[in-house]
Amino acid sequence: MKIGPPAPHVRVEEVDGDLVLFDTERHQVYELNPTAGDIWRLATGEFDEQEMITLLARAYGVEPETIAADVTRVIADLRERGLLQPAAS
Amino acid sequence: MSRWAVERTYELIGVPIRIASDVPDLEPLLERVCRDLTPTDRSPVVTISIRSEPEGFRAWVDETMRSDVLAFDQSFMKAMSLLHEQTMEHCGLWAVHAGVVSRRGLVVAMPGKSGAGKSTLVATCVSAGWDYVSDEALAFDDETMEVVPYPKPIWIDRRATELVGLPRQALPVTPSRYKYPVTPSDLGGTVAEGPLHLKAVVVPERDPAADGIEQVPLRRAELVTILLRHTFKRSRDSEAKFDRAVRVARRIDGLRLRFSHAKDAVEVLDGVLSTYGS
Repeated sequence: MKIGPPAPHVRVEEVDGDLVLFDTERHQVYELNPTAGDIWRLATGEFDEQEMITLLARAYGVEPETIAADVTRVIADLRERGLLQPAAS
Repeated sequence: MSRWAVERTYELIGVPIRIASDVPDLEPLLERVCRDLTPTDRSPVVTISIRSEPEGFRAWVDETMRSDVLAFDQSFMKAMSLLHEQTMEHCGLWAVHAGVVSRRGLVVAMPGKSGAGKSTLVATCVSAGWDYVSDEALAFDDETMEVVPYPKPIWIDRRATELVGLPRQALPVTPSRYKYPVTPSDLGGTVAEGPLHLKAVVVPERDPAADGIEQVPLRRAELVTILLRHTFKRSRDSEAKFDRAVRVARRIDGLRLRFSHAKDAVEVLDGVLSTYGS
């Protein structure tokens, strides 16, 4: 199942390298930590969760299992808040 | 002839608001509690009144009843709360819920949740020689970063009045919900004047169990969320406010400050300001 892309009502700004999301429907703002920001950048609808974990692990120089739980949690959180478009298979 | 025994119009962040009553008891309270507000001859946009009834007093906004029947001092406290509500309602500037102090025209804003220690910290700063800008709202022009004072009384609890060294006889009215309205004059301070520019946001976190003081720089992305989450009327023009918050966050510094004693926190604020020169 591919992750993303971002929901159309979400605006994104980069501030000093960190991402800030603004939900224009719910008037909510979210500031992403660096790892969550990287997950967001990969949530384009191009990759599934396992591919994202592999890409991020390679980028961070760690084993995939080290970050898998965090990536899963962040994706679930972004979805739950309606910031990503519903999953497409 | 006016229907009111007492009426005053104050200009708060550019908003003229009248406070009035049909009973003369309001006058000494206004003289005492609102002495740092700016009187104006402008026509008020709204009138907040305390009106007597056989059983007590009620607070009104224009012709809308806004309280139950209360004792007079409680109705006065309600009127003060409505004064703030109406200022925020009509204010044309961006306003963020924060305690605000300044020195040499440089402004530090301290947004935070209720109970985070904002008011006590503001009162302690004013006692230590900082100028008072506001206990409640950072109102500013995000293009010029110029801040407009909103010197409503500082609401602090009895313990806080002791901490800032305020004698009990200086307290103006019967406390409402255990909070006292205190003016900068009570604290030996003054309201900030002249051009004021926002330089830093410090998020205070009072923690009686904290060992000393802990300061953590805020990332600018965090500043965006902090500014927006504490914005009054956030849902009005929210997308424009998001753009403004991003712009402002790129131009100021931020710090999270955990402390157990407000006086220690003031020393840190002194240090923060010293980095900007004059």
